[in-house]
Amino acid sequence: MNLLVRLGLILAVICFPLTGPAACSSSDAITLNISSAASLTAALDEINHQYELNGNVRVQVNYASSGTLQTQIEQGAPVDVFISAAAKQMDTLQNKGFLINNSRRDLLNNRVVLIIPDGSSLAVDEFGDLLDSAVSKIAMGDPNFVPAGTYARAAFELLGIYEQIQPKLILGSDVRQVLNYVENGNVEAGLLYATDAALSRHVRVAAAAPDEINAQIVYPVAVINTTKHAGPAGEYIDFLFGPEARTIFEKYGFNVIDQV
Amino acid sequence: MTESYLSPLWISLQTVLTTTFITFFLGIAAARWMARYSGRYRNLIDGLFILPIVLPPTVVGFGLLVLFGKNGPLGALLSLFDTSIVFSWPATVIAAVIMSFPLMYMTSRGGFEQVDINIENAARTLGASEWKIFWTVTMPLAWPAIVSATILAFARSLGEFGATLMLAGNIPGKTTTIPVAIYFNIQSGNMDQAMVLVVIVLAISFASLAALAYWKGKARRTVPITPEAL
Amino acid sequence: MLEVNIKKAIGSFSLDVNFSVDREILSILGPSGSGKTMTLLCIAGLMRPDTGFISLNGRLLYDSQKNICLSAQQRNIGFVFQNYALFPHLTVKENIAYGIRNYSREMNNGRVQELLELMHIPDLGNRYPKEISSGQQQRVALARAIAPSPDALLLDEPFSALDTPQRERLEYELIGLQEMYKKDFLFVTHDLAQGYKLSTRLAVFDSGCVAQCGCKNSIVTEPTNRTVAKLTGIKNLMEGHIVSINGRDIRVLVPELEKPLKILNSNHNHLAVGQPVFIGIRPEYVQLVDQEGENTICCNTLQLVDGVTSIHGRFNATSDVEKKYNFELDLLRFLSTGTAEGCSCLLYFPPERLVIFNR
Repeated sequence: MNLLVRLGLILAVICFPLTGPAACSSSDAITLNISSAASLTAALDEINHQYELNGNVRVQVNYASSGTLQTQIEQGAPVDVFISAAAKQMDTLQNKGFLINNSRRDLLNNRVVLIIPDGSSLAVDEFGDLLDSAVSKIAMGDPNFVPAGTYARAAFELLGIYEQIQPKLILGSDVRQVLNYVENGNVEAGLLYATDAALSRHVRVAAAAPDEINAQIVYPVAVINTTKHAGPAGEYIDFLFGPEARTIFEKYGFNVIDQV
Repeated sequence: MTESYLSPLWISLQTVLTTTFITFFLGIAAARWMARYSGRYRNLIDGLFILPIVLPPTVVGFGLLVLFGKNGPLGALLSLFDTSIVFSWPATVIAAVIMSFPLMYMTSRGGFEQVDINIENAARTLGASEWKIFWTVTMPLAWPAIVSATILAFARSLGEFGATLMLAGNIPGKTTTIPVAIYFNIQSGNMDQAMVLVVIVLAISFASLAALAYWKGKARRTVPITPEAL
Repeated sequence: MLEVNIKKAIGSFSLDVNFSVDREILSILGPSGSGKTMTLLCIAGLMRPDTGFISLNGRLLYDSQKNICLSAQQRNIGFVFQNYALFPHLTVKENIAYGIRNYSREMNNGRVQELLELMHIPDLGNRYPKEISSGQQQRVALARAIAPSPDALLLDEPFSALDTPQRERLEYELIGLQEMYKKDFLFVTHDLAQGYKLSTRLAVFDSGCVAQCGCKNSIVTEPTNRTVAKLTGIKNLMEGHIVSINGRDIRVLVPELEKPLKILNSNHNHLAVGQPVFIGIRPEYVQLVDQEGENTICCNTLQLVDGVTSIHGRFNATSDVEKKYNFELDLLRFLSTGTAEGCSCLLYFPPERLVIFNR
């Protein structure tokens, strides 16, 4: 009995620092809770580091897939700012009334590109070439919940070839899966965001989706209406559109949308 | 750079130790109760206790999120005190406890059911209280099963991912455990970092298994608590 | 004194027993499934009856009307299980000491040593149960049960797994223990000889009821029903009815035999002329004779089997009626039977050895 009680006390001491309340409302420093698409991890870490140096607002980020983040916000998780990798999740939240009016802005855009394994000798220069019989399998994210997949399908539909392409499609549940399929040569080609493709050194960008599609691809950002720090949240978003942040975003292959 | 290894390691260590501690007592208590319970709702309660390992972890995580979110019963209660479990470190413990509890419960219960009821009855006729019987007869005789159960619970909580991500989120420095860190490193293409974390997890696993195997072997002939102590 | 009067029903089995034990060994005899173990469990507090009461030395352990039910821990009744139920993870000393209230360490050690010597196993203190023989394990189980000085001792077929020499030794030791402690001992067995040897009184169980309870001699010589008769070894049962009663002289006519049989029995208050009865006789009281006379029956020898100390014979009554009785006889070996298989012979049932009871 003694041994176990002692063990319990030791544990309580070790873990106490972490058990404090999630939202500190009484101290000077405000902590902003950001939920961000995981694809922005590297860029946002650097940007937030800069942001914290400039002021006394702390930033805490929860990285996950946009779908998971949306679900968490819908269930009342404490989030101040949400950055999504596609418009779909933000639209859903907006329709359900989770956003502060007029706080939504389109932050980044991206492009859907066609990639092929590095040593491939396939002659693919445009999306239409995928109809060729030499291409038997094409990997892309599931259009239902992977943003890049949603836009890739839109591209095919725009070109009017989705129905013929569909039998060849291998759907992945995330970016990493699609990249793996292409890297290992399990598929002849794959469709991803340009920023995802840049993660791998074993694939080559062969073509880009039509501009009309790429123009639709946005990473929206908005303030969630249950926030207790609307002001600082707004200032944070402004910082994301500022010059320092832009430089960092571009370093990682993202394009900040010019504000009109 | 090393911060990105130390942080998930430190968080995982705290989470796993706390979880195993809690699950150990909860699992044993539930197992003891159910091993000798013969009421009408036996199968129903048993099913409830085992449910978390039958469901996909993400589903369990979603259920917890609904429960602890602002609109859920527990979440609403907590928001009266201006706190929330979601995205906090205790959430990693809650998720891990829920996911490791069924293993601790099932294996311990098997151990308790194997103890000859006549032996426990003999202790009763000798005047020992139920509490004394549990600690001096039932537990020592079920000890190998208890140790196995603890190992399983420990391993499960070390590798817990789906429910943790849903409830605690992936907040580096706060709730990012090793499995979550590995996953997102792979997603981002940071293979080197992922590999280092994998090696760390393997090291922890082997070290713990060795320690527990040693403890189990030693405990074959001794009891943790002697009757005279009570 | 232990008084038991309980009823309990489980499924289609119903237990309804009423008996008492007064500073003696009472043996409960009966076939498997007759409720013996269930009764012990109820007395010990390990099972709860539906109604009734149990009291020990004036202390109410269970009373359904007053809603009293003491837990097993509070009853201070020792229990020796059929499979010993020793604590396998504790040494012999720790097993025996388990129930002793903690006084001082020296006092407890002294008591344990005292018991080890009483049970003739002084050197086994530090061994574990799996390291000692079953006879020794049984001694440890006994010592453990009496260590807390219980007010009564219950034993559930404790010697059934021992070989004969071990069993006989322990039976004598058990008698000695009871004489020493002068407490109520309740002993369950399926072996009549063992029960008879150990106890002054017997209770015969059958299908959850007490078929007969009383001093052992009267159970064996004056069974009151067929179950008890069979369990106590009375064979050669015949069905008939009483034709006359003259003081101790009772005549019973068994239809399949020609003449009425004469029985000498002093306990005939409940018997009346014309009453249907069973009569029977133990195999060891049947005799072989040369001449016909009172209580002789003409038979055919079916089989003669040599036993260690006796010859066992089976015979078939010769009669015109279709239903022929089979009789059994046990003869001491050194006496000659005077007959052989297949031959006819005369069996004699001594009147004072025949038992009679209601049908």
